[in-house]
Amino acid sequence: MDKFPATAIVAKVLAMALEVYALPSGTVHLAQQIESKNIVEVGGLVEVWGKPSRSIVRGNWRYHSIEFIVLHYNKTEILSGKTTVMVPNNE
Amino acid sequence: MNKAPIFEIELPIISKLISEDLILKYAEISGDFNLVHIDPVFAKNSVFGGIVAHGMMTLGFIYNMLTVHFGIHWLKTGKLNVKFKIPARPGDKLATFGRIIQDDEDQCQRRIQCSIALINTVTKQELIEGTATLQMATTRRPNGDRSD
Repeated sequence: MDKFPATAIVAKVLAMALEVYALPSGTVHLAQQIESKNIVEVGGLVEVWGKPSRSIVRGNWRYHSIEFIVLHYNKTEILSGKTTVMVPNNE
Repeated sequence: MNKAPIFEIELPIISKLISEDLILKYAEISGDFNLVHIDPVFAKNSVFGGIVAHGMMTLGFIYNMLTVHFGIHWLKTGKLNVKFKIPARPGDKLATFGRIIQDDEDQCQRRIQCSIALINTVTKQELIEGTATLQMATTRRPNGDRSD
């Protein structure tokens, strides 16, 4: 069975974060941390838990960090990570 | 801790040519439709001044390099910590860079740290830079000798 790469999972997490946290187009991906704990195979079912961990404003930009954890359906941890993005501050 | 240089110091190079088609396909697969990746007009008026590739797509090239070199050890224990310095654009020719900078081993475990980067092969600019670490079972025998 083919293994599903961690970066592909994190790409999905990032796409979900854009939607869940209503991050607008123009958001810039600044940094990424990924810590792999287990392998998930193609077709595997996973769930994602995320929380914003930091948010600061500098000039015309807001900086957000989002920490997340990805679990297999049996609750085995697949990976964890932290995404940092820069969002246009239109407020 | 002892030095245990099993692997080559330089990791294999993964080369990629970025295209708008590749970026669009990645947007469809990942579900990341940030307009800086898919809308030339929006992207032109953004901070980037034009279409740019997804950071996670370009990070995938580095991940691939580490998987090719370290295999299952990377997939199960790998840690990545990177900064996206410059975005990749359509037409860019990219190449991964990886170098083992630390390789420590004790009776139980081996810890390897790599310096990693993604380079524009034409401009020589560094698009991504960071570190990768992984662990694996020790190659040291009970008598202290190494098995490799």
